[in-house]
Amino acid sequence: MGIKMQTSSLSFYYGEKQALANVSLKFREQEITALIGPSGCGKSTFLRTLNRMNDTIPHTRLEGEVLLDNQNIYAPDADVVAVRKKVGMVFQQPNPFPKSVFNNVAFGPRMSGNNQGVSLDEVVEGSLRAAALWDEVKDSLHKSGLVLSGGQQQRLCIARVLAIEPEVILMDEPCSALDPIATLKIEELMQELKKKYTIIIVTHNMQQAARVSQWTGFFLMGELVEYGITRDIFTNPQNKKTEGYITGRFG
Amino acid sequence: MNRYLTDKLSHWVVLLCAFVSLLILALIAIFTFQQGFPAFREIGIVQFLTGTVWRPGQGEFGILTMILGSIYVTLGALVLSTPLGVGCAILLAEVAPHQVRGILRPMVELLVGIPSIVYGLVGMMFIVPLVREIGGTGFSILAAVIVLTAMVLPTVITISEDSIRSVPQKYKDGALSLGATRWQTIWHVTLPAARSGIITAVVLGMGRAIGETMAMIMVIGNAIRMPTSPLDPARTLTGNIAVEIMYAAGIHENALFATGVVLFVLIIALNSIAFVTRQREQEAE
Amino acid sequence: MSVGCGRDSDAITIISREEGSGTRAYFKSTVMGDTLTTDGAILLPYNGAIRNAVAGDPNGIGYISRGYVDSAVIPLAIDGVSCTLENCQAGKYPLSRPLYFLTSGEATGVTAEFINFCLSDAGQTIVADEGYIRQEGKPWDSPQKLIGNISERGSTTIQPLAEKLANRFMKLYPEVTITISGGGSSVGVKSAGNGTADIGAASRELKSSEMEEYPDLKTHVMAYDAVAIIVHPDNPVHGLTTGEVAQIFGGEIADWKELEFVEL
Repeated sequence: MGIKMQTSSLSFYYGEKQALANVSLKFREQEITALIGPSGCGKSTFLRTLNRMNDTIPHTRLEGEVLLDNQNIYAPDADVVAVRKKVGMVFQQPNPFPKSVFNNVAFGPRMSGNNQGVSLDEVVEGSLRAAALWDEVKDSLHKSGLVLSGGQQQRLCIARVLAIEPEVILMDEPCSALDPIATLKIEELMQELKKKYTIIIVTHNMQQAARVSQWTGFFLMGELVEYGITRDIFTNPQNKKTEGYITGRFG
Repeated sequence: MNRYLTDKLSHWVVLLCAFVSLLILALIAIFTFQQGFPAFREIGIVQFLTGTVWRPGQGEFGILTMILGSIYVTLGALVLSTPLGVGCAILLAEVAPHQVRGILRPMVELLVGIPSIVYGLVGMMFIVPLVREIGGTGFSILAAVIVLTAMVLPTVITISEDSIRSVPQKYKDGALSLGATRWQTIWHVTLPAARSGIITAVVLGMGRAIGETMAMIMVIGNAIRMPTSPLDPARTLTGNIAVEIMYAAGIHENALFATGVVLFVLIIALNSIAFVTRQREQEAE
Repeated sequence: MSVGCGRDSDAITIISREEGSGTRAYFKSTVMGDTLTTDGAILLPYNGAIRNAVAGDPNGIGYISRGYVDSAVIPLAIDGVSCTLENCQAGKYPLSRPLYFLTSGEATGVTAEFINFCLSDAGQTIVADEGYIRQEGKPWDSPQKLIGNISERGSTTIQPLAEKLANRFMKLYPEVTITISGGGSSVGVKSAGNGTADIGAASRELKSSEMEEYPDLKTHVMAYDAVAIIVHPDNPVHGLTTGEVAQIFGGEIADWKELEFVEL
């Protein structure tokens, strides 16, 4: 599979504090890459550099490059809005807008204003079906998204991302606020989605990383310690620190 | 046991406070209605509310012109101060750099503390002559609306800003990550999420507007005539009471209290409309 | 004439006091008679507010206590007599009226001394200095030492004069404190009548209803005041008859152009 996205020598600073040091990492098309590591290791910060969400935080600085289809998304002439449309994001806490289910999903297409030929109804239905939520909400499309259960809300957020037709989907611990059944549904959904999208997931849960991903990167204190095929990382880690973390000696 | 007692005591103290506040409110209402009632009886409610002539000396009491005066200036101030105030609030909450906000916000808050008579004087010296350039005597509904807008703005700005600021970051992140621009995010996500707080700001502003007295007396001209244009002078209900209560006796005094009753009802009506609007907004979500 | 900026007409802006004001009551009885003030008149509740309003409006006309007149407005000659202090003192200016201090019963103690001071030559000199009309000073044996508090409340016409008199008196007797407040003539009558103030101030006669309610009230004429009819300095009109003033305030004459006047 081809390389969809990659970073080279990426460093990131909050003010004087360095949060990422020299991270170079590749993400393959139609595969799932998991980023693991203890709290504060920089994996979420790293994820947010991939769609420039860190731009919204004042006093931050970035060095290095992030390439999407070989274009640097931090190039001076890069269009942030276009980048975010290509690189969708699902957050740790389900965050549907305080709007109806329909309006949540329709939000992205409405903002970009280019639903050529396809009606908004079709986009919403298609996205909800792709997020495996359609059957549960088709009769309550105009009720608030906030009355759904946590798992449904997270799938609504995924549907919302799918509606903008991204190429990459970033997931920042998408199941950490969910119960095991809801988590299972999201994981099944990810397997469906990977047929079409490049998925990068940050997770605390090593079993989850092992279950869903093909590639795994292990972060520690802002550095990428080890990267490789998921099976290899979990069965035969090359680095002592990686081994320590996955066997539960720290983290 | 001791802790239990404190708990119980606090309960009763809080209850007592609530009761006393309600009692005071009830007493004011009862007193106003009681003092105003003879006017309704002698003048007749319909005559009082629909009459356009107010000559206490001749025993003529009609307050329609003042009801309209109050409604016109309040609505006028609302129409001007809502977009201006929400605009400023967006600027302070979402756009202005931290340092700029640090200067602007205290300044806006300072404006709330300026006594209304000062607004009235400034209005009389600067706004009235300015309005005169457009036409009429300058003492007018328009001048009153401008002064009132300036007085209401700080309330609308500060409360709107607080509510915009309290919109969770996760909504904004959600919108931005879906490829919305900064202004699309403000317009389609932040403002709707802050809507209930913004409506509260406008309702409070409206309360201040309809109750404002001294500044209005200085700029609106206090004439008792049916206003037909924004450049015409008018009298507000509050102005009528304030200007004449010092001298009033007998039925004249009752009529002024009756004016207060009408003001009371008007405020309750406006608040109810605002309440229903807000309720409906929330249900629409 | 064209005195307004960017206006086609010279429509007169009539600025009057509110119903119940002592000045208005006097103006009504002396100038207006049975004519009603037009309901298009701007009404303002203070002498100073009317002065400021006329000072800002080239087409304005209003009436205030002569004590409030300053260079920002022009007092008109009425019936050919200009509103100078001399004419007022000589009794030639037609619009002058007594100003009253009111006490409940005969004044006693420090209050009586203050009123006597006001009526004395020293007090009446202050009256004249402040632009009000003085009377013959009455003899007053100033005591060596006085202690006490006096409160005065009422007419805003009298207020600035009363403040000047009180300041002088407090300088003479540092242990006396006098508080002066406004509220209008009716407030002055009420306050003196029900004893909430030692001295009430009124710029008009007592009404019969007030005399019935407070039969003990004693009146003291503390000065005379002229009511000045004022216009903007740019207004070429410098004199009117009492009749014309009544016609203007009654709304019969609505435009300065309708007046025949002599350029001065």
